[in-house]
Amino acid sequence: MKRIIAFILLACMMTCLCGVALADEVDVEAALAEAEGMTNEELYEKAKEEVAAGAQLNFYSTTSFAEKAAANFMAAYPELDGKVIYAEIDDGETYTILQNTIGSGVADSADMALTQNGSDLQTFMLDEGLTYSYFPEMYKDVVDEQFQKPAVVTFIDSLFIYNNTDGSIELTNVWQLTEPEWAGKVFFKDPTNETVNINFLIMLTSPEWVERMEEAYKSYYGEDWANEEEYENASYEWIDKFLANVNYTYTSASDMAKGIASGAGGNLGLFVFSKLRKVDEADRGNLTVVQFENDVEGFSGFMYNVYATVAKDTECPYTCALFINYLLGEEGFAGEDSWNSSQGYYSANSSIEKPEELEDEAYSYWSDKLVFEDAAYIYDHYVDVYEYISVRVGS
Amino acid sequence: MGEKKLAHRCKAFFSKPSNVLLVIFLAVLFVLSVLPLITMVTNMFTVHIGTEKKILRLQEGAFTWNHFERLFPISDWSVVNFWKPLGNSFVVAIGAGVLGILIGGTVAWFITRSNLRFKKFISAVFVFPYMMPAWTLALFWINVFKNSQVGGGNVGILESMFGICMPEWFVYGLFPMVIVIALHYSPFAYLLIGGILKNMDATLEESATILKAGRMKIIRRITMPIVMPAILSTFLLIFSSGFSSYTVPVFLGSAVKTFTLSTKMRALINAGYQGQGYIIAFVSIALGCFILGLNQWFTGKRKSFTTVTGKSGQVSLVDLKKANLPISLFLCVYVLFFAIAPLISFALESVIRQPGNYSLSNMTLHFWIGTEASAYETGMISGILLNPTMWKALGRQVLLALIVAVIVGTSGMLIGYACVRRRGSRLSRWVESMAFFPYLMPAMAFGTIYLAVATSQHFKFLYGTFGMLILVASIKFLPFASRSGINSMLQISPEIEEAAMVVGVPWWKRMVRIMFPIQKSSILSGYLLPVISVMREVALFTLLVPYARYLLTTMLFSFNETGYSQYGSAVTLLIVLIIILINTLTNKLTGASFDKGIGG
Amino acid sequence: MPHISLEHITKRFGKFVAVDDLNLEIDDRGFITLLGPSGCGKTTTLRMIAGLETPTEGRITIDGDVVFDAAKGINIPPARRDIGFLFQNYALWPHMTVYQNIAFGLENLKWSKADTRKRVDELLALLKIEEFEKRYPSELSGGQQQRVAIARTLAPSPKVLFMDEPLSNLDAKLRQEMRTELKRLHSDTNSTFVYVTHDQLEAMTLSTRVCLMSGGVLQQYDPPLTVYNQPANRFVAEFVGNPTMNFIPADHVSGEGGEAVLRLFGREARFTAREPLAPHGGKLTVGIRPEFLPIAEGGAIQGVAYSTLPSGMETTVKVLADGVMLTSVVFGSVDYAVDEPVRMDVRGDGIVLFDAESGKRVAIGTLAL
Repeated sequence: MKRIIAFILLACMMTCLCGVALADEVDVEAALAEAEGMTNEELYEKAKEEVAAGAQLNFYSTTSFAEKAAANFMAAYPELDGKVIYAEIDDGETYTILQNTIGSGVADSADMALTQNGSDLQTFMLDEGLTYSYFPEMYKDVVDEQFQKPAVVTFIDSLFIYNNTDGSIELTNVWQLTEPEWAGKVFFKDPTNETVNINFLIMLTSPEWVERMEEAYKSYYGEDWANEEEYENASYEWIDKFLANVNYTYTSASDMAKGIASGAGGNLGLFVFSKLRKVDEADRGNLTVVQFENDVEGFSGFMYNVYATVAKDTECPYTCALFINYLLGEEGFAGEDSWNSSQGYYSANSSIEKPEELEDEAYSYWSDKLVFEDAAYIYDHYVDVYEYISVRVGS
Repeated sequence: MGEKKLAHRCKAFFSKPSNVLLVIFLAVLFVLSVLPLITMVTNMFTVHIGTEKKILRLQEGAFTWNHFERLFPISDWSVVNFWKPLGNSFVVAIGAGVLGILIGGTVAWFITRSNLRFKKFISAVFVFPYMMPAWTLALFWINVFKNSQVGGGNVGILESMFGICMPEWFVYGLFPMVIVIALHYSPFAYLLIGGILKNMDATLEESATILKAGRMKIIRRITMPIVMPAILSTFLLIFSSGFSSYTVPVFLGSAVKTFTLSTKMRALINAGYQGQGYIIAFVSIALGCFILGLNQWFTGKRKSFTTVTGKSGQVSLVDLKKANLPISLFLCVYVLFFAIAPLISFALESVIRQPGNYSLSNMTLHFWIGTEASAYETGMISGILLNPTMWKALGRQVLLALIVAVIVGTSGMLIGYACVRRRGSRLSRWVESMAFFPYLMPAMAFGTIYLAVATSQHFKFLYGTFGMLILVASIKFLPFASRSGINSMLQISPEIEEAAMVVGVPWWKRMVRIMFPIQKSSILSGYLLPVISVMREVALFTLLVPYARYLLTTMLFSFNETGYSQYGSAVTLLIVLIIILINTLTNKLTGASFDKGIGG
Repeated sequence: MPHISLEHITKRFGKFVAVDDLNLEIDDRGFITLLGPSGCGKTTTLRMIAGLETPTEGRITIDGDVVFDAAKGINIPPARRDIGFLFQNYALWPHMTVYQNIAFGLENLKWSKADTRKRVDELLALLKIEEFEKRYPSELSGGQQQRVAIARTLAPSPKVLFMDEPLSNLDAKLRQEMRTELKRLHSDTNSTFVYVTHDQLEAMTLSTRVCLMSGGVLQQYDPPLTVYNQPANRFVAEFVGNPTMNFIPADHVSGEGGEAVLRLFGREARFTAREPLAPHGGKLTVGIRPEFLPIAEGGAIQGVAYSTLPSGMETTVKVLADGVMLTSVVFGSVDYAVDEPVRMDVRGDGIVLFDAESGKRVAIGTLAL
């Protein structure tokens, strides 16, 4: 009997201990501040020390290219080999998980995170002091200031892409998509379950975009938008009628890309551009990016940011800094099989161009054609738009 | 004197190992299953950081009725986020329950009571769908029936082979949800009902035959009432599982905007409406309790039937005569389609490059053993068999399954022992029902509750740890183990243990040398069931793993969600094969098998 | 040497009183049976002495050692009471061979391998089950299982041996055989036997003293013949003896001391007791064993034959006399036609008078009709 009790007690204690053991604290904030001014060589020296002391860099990411980037990074800095561990997390749970693991002492908790959705990053991470932003001085001149703190590692865009087997759909104005003929033929991931999609719709309700939607409205219908009785503004009307036409068959962007490519002609999707690489080569010719055919009045899609921040309890702030430097630089972002090798990823570093052979353009090309996210606006208007859309999607 | 007497009583009470066990389990279960529930309930009334804090302009943790006010009174919001999904969940749960019992019960009757052919094959293969994660069946359904008229207009197997297009309601929505969940759980109905039919005294039916009652009349008036308790508890199980199923509605419902309570629960929590999400979880649990109460009230009145499980020598099998061959063939085709075909399709899907093209030139083993060459396109470093992440996830899953099995199997056996020894006492009843309670908690709600616990101040150290997964899985899968523990211990007369007690055999030795060996096969089954459950569980873990590729099933789910379909198919196949392997090995080595854990 | 004493033992299960204030002294090397109908508390009593059940109140000493005392909180576990226990269903361990079943307890007492082997062989020989050594219990017949169970119980040479209806699962012939063996075993092993049974014949034939219980209360505790001949009350008289005693209602008409005039069957009769009559309520019952009620021509009681049950050596005859069913045993084989007039006599000095109300014995003596 005593053995059993002892066993149970032991088991309980073991469970507790799993979480508690922790090495001595590092002043991460100060280290990062120092790192900002250091060269990569200096950082490498520091990183070697950290690794020698037993640290490893666990980084959580919502983009799978990061895994490859980590491999390239370790190849470039061989003494860090095997010390950078990639963990993919689901976008929906990102902040719940980070919020609860950072600072909890959990082994393998994140040292660094590549996350999207700037509004939540601000609310749950930065405001709470769970992660710190870091940006190296060496890139101060090539990256737009608004993308420095927190550092934007990559931009990702979702574009209007359609199946061209029945010829061109001639989409020139986003208001076309509110017409009944599009019912069931527009594919878009459920915005109530996909933060970047809801963020895009929220951005549409911002004054700047309402204005552009009204312009597009006027050019499409030949009259000013004046449906104030039914809708708060033009964007709401567009959102409502657009969502009414949306078909939610595909729950993932890859499936949507593949599905539209092999499905019926004339189907249109608004999905992550980079997912075109998942489409089998034989089918890839069936897809056309609307923007590469013609400009669309309103917008041709939307762009969102992926940020890098460093956890407050990391044991290897210098390694993190070195890694972020690497990701922001040419060899990291445009390294072998890295983000730049795929359509739909753009560096905030203006010195990095998209490769010639890819049918894509640099960030600057897209800047006036897509809806960009503004974390502060989303933060303020999330609830109103979410609740409006939630009801639309469900009914 | 009074104090002394009390002390003596305590001493006498704790001198019995069964009492010690009961008290320990009562405490442990209280902490692990009642306290989390309390945490969840408090979460229903408090303000959370983020969205709720923004809307309500209150401090985090402040008391509020707001979540209820939003969710219950009829409004656009509550209809969309609560009432409609509630209705859908009901339809799915009831439909799947009825259909699952019809399928499982019918097959059980044919196998145990008729001279059906190919019995061995049918009964062995019929349980396969239970070993597959439920949503993989949903994906199989979509792959077969999707067609150019519905969804994205993609051609499925049925259309490409026979040119048949099924209507939308058949491919997506409530109908296929009911079918898929029923298929997944019908093996349960088969095992539970079959167990009763097999043990049912044939003389009960024979005496009716002598009284010249017709076949149908016997089934209706004698067989049915006797298996009624099994039918009801199966219904309870499928209903609970169907009501809380998360993965199946995600894949089958989104296309036609059909949401159920559990998909809404996750959406609300992710969108920052945690309070309302927890209320939904609570509603699911309350409903489960209600159905259980109903079940007990119903079977309570029919208690006498449950004792009719006396062994009988010869069971007279119904001669199906001319119908034999057609029925046998039909059932073979049925199991081939729903148990074997999915496996074949997973195998096929995992080797083809371009979906829908099954020509040899389109095949590749890249997804199994490929190296970096085309990693760029697939987003993975290598094929799953060469991928360290996959092996780590697999290792964790198997380790988790084994640890949980040891904990759950042992606890189940000890609970069984303690409850049977003290049968009738209040303490024993409490422990028994508390051990059963997690059965009523939908896996998703359970995960959510533990999320709430682990994110609360004092338990933060638990979050994202392996220990946490062990803990949660152990509690979640305890009900079956404790049931089978109780059942197996009931079959050992107390004298068997007392005979050893008299010669001074200590308690633990009595357990190890006497009790365990006697019920070896049924106790081993109690260990096996959690292994299988853990190997294919995802909803329970999805909120609790530190990252998606931490476990094999969560990795698989994220593959399926993000469209790595070939990798997904490969992993699915791997999981099912591992489960079948474990079951077969255990069966060959010890004679135990997982169906005995349920049917016992 | 093991002398067992029970003082004020009470056992309650919730509100139900299974054993009520029981006092019992069991002599060393006695063969005691606890006898009574099912549910009378006899098995509970046995299990309490063995330590398998905890009494609610009272004190138990074995061999001078207090093994249980409710007031002092003493409760020695069964293993340390130096006892053996033979269960009704044998409780053989189905996963162990006969040898292992017998040896397991010894191993547990840290006996050496050689000693164990020797002791088991001894027992196998004693119980004549040598050839079954390697078999499993399920491969043995009921009688063989019984012997294995006995061997297992005897193996550690317990000073006290408890048996809970050990023969009830055997057929009549085997039971007879085992009774003989048990009695033999008792004298061979030199231990104290405490034996539970509901079969009065078993109790009569086996034991040195019978403890008869009913409703949790001790009715009589005496040697078997005393119980048979001098039953303490009507319950004892009725429970012991087969065919059962005849009971005839009677009124006390007159008489003092050891003499009494009774009225029964509508006439007066003289009762001469060995000792003065105990106080009673006037309404009496006369108890006459069948052997004291012979069928005799010219007998005092007139009746008709109701049925005749010959069993070879003797014949039981049921006679209806004045509305009372009487039983007589006749040596040899006789047969009476149904409703044939029969006369019976009363003889012997073992006629018992009970108080009709309380059932207590009032006197023993002769009855002259």
